[in-house]
Amino acid sequence: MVVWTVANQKGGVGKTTTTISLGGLLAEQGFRVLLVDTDPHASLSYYFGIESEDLELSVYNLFVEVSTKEQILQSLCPTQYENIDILPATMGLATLDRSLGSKGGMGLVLKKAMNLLVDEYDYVVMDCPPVLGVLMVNALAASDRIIVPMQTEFLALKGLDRMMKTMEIMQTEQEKPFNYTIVPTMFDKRTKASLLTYRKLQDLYSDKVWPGVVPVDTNFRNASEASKVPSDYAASSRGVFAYKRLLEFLQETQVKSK
Amino acid sequence: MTKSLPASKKLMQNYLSELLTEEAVDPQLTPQGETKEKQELEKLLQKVNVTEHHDEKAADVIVSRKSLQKTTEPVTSKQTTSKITTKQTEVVEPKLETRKSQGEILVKVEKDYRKSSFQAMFFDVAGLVIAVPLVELGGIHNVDSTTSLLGKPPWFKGVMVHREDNINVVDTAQWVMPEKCNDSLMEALDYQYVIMLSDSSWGLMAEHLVDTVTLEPEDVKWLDTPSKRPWLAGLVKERMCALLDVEQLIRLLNDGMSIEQN
Repeated sequence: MVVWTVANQKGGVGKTTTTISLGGLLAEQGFRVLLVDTDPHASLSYYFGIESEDLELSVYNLFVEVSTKEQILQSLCPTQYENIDILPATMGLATLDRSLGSKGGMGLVLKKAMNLLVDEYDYVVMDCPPVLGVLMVNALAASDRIIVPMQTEFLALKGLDRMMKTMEIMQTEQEKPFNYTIVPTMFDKRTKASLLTYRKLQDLYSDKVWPGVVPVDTNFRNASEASKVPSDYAASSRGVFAYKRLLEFLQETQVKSK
Repeated sequence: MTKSLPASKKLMQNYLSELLTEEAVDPQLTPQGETKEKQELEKLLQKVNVTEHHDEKAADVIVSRKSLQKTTEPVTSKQTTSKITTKQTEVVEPKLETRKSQGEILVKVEKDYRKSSFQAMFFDVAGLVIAVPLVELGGIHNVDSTTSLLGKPPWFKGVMVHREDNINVVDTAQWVMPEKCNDSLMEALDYQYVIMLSDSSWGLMAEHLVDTVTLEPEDVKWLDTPSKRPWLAGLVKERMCALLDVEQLIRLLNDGMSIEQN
């Protein structure tokens, strides 16, 4: 099982879109995919029509009680796609930082839970909240690879800088260095800001930047309205094309790194 | 780009180190550990109670000494003479009314979360949107069956058992807007959640969870002067809704006071 975490401390950079797009494409490749929603806003869950506040079990339960494999499996929600399941989020997750604070070891809850599901899925893709806290730390600690979407606009560079610092500090606590890839998103070739930011990004992080861009594409929004993964909604759209290239890159480099 | 403040970096490192250090977590994660933790907590609380008694007695002694000192001072005013002399004999008794009345004074202490941006969760009850700061939110539970208790006010919905904890459930509409709670409104209410107030055993019933929003201090019109509504920390300007002062609300609920009585 391979675990990817989609994270950035800045909001609105395309984390959920990246999670869903990659999840959809992996499922098309025939892999068993689990999408994990760790954002209290539960956008990923809502995307698939899951009213997570009506659910009895969610990611939240992993943090407040000891969960067995069976209990975790019961928390999963199926989607209209046969090989995509979701571990949904609830708004209650927003209280975790307060209730758990920095309680020892609580950063490893998701990692332990995913270890129990190792035979059930080929890929796990986690969507993070845009806040550094116990949820993001959990998702980062559980991942084999971190995908950092970055909107190609100047202010987003600051958010990226914070994310890099977080990973840099966290790395000292990890057994292995973080394997991360920055993905330029919402690229609009007509705007100067997009081009300049993209160049700056390459100057600053060079080999950590995926050598491609995800363009602005209204099909993403339309796909979410239709509750379909983008590759199902608009298979030949330029956005989906970009995520296909990204997936190829991630899979190639994943093999190399293993 | 990678330059960072050493202090904040150290803080972050400590935070992340705590979260990612496994040794301390297992006893707390197991139910047995939880029970043990509760037992230890209870033991500690017992000690605290004992200490409090001692403190009270010590305080009594201090107060009595003060009053004794006062009595040694030349008494010139006619109004104090009689009172002080009578207190001199009463003061050795553990019951001290002066202390009790001190506790009743409502002093609004500025909350720490007001110093910078903070997150608040919005929920609604019968169309009324209420915000609660996340730092004072103890948790959210789905509404379960409640056991009514005799002799309790209408706003006290009952006790809900959640994982061996007893939650005192408040019918929020009955507490916040009793004057509007006619039969049709009460019938239309569809309570789904119980919003826990800080670490207390009190929970407010909510129909819907609206969203969580990061607020800046200036987004709220703070009600700093003691008012008839101590449970109100302020008004969220943009949404024109109440921001709860959870601490004060817990105090009122503990005292069994409704919105009309405080």
